[in-house]
Amino acid sequence: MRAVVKRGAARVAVGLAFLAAGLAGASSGQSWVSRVVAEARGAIERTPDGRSVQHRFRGWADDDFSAFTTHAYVSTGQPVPVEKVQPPAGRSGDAARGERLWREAPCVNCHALPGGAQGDARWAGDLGPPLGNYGARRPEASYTYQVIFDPRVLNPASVMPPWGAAGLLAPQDVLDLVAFLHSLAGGAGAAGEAAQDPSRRAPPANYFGDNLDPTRNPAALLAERAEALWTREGAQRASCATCHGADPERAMAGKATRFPRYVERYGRVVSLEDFLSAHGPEAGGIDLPVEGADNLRLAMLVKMQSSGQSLNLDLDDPRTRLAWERGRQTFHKRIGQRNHACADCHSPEQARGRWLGGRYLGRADVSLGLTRTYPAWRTSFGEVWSLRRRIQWCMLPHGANNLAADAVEYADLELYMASFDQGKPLNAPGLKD
Amino acid sequence: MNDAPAMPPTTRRRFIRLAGTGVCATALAPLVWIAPAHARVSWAALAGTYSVPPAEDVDATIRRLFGTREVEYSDAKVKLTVPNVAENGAVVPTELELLAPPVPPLYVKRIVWVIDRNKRPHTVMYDFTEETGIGYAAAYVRMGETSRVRGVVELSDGRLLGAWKEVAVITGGCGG
Amino acid sequence: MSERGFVRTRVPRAAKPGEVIRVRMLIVHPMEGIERDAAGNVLARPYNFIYRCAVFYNGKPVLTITPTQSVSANPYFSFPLRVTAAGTLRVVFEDSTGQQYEDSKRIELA
Repeated sequence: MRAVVKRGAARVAVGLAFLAAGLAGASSGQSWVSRVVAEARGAIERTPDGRSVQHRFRGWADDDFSAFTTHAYVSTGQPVPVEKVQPPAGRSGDAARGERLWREAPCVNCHALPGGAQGDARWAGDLGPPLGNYGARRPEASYTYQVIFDPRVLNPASVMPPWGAAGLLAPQDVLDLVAFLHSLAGGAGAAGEAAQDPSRRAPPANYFGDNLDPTRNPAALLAERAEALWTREGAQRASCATCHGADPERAMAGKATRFPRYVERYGRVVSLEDFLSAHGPEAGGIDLPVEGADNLRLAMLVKMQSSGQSLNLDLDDPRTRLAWERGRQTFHKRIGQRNHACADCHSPEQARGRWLGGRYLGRADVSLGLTRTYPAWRTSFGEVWSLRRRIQWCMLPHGANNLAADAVEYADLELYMASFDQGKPLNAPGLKD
Repeated sequence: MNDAPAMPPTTRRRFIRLAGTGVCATALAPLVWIAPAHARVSWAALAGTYSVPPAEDVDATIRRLFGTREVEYSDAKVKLTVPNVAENGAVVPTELELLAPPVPPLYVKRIVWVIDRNKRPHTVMYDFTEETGIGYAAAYVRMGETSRVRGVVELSDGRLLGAWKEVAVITGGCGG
Repeated sequence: MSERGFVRTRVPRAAKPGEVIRVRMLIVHPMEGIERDAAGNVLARPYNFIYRCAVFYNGKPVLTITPTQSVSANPYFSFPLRVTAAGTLRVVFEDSTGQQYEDSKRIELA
């Protein structure tokens, strides 16, 4: 493979990189060439009618959230400033309109109204407290107004978005919600159907069966077919097989258990998909941009050769440890119009036993290890998704622009997440809703 | 299948551009039918109905399929396995099993899935012979909204057995 | 999908005479459902979905399946088969564009 780096030079290189990484807060990855499909680059563009949009995957919203912060290490956008407010004088709220807003905003995703007050919205969540009897406590309207407009004034660590301060809701909207909430009194309170009350729902069963069965999981079928990619020649008349041998199983057994990893020549952490996007062109002129179909198929094929083997990341390497720490900070960093951090939903404290918008968060607890089934088939989209695409998708409910799929920020974040899969068996491609 | 207007608009829906999405079924959609070429399967010789089922009320579907014959719904005789909650309606795994397999020469002639609240409740039909009519079938189905899912088994002696379950479909969630 | 038409059938390699096996199959196919525009009108265009499937054992038809647009994309089907002789299981799908897709699997007698 590559030439072995001399020990002395290696130590100096490590030392410099360590310093640079520590000082800069990130390995800039100057020797990394980004090769990503157009939909996953995070490009900001202008439409013919002058609208500014972020180019994302087909079917995704294209709102440009440039005004707000992202996960980039070099900050762009501004955090939503904390705002202490009073309800506007001389105006009243419309409780009926408030109820509609409740479902659309959607407050219902985090707050249940047990007792049937939320109508069709059976699938509420319990990330926030249930509010079915909110009005019975007879709170001050100015208090409720402030909580909805910007809860951080009252609780600096609030997970709830600052709906008014971020411009997600207009003052009249907030007034209407206040009127609606204050009308909820004397109801069934915590009682109600199990369907309405997230705290009484049983976690859903895994109903898809064996994700590695190609008659159940289209991704497994596509991954099997990816063997053709193994022998397909690139521009330099070389294929994977040229160097690695004709049998992907023999060549790749165990390899996927080492990713994500810090790669010295790139000066950064890379996932398997990132690595393929660089290694393909470098080694054989084989075009494998990140988030492209070929890259995903090949990543699945390679990971399948390590099915059942324990993830074995090198978490002792000092540069990897720094990247892990950056990933941990990213996981907890509040960004976007909604002022959310990954941890707000996916930390063990937040996720365990809880529901969000009818979906069971309990299985999305990062400490369970969430990365070893990626890439995965998403039945709700009918597509194979990498973890990066999943992260990019999550930026939409954050109200934040996504970074390029191979961004070092995402790689460090993935490393942090994958550390919880350490020692657990790889099981990709997965099969998810 | 329904656009599910009764469900609250969700953040997920907001994140998906709604130009032309919303999977639904009506009786009026034109389809392209191309006659099979020679040396391919001759469908005329096979059992099964190949017309697009109409958009109709579920009771009309049952009447159309089974006429005036009663369906005996019994969880003791027919086991229908579906999730209680489908986190999206696009892929809902279903399995149907006759708990007491028919003793030959009796066999299962047909199994039909009906999803009450889809615009076209008639979902998929298996037409069996003695070799396959042993009393099991599975399919992944689409649901537009929370609905009853029914499986109906027709035995070779004309008896109709069935089972149904309510499946809740979540279309909400922050991104999900 | 460019992989439209991949069929994967899963059967045991062998069965005892008279044994009932379970056949599982998946075909990569969009199973296009009716689409509507923002106003709710049906978009008038041909929809591509699998509307019939035939299963043969040693050339004899043993099953037909008639899916509709209410069947999920990349449909999965499963059914039993009583094996009395060694043979070839052949499944043929046809979609509304007239394309046929098939797969065959050999089952031996144990």
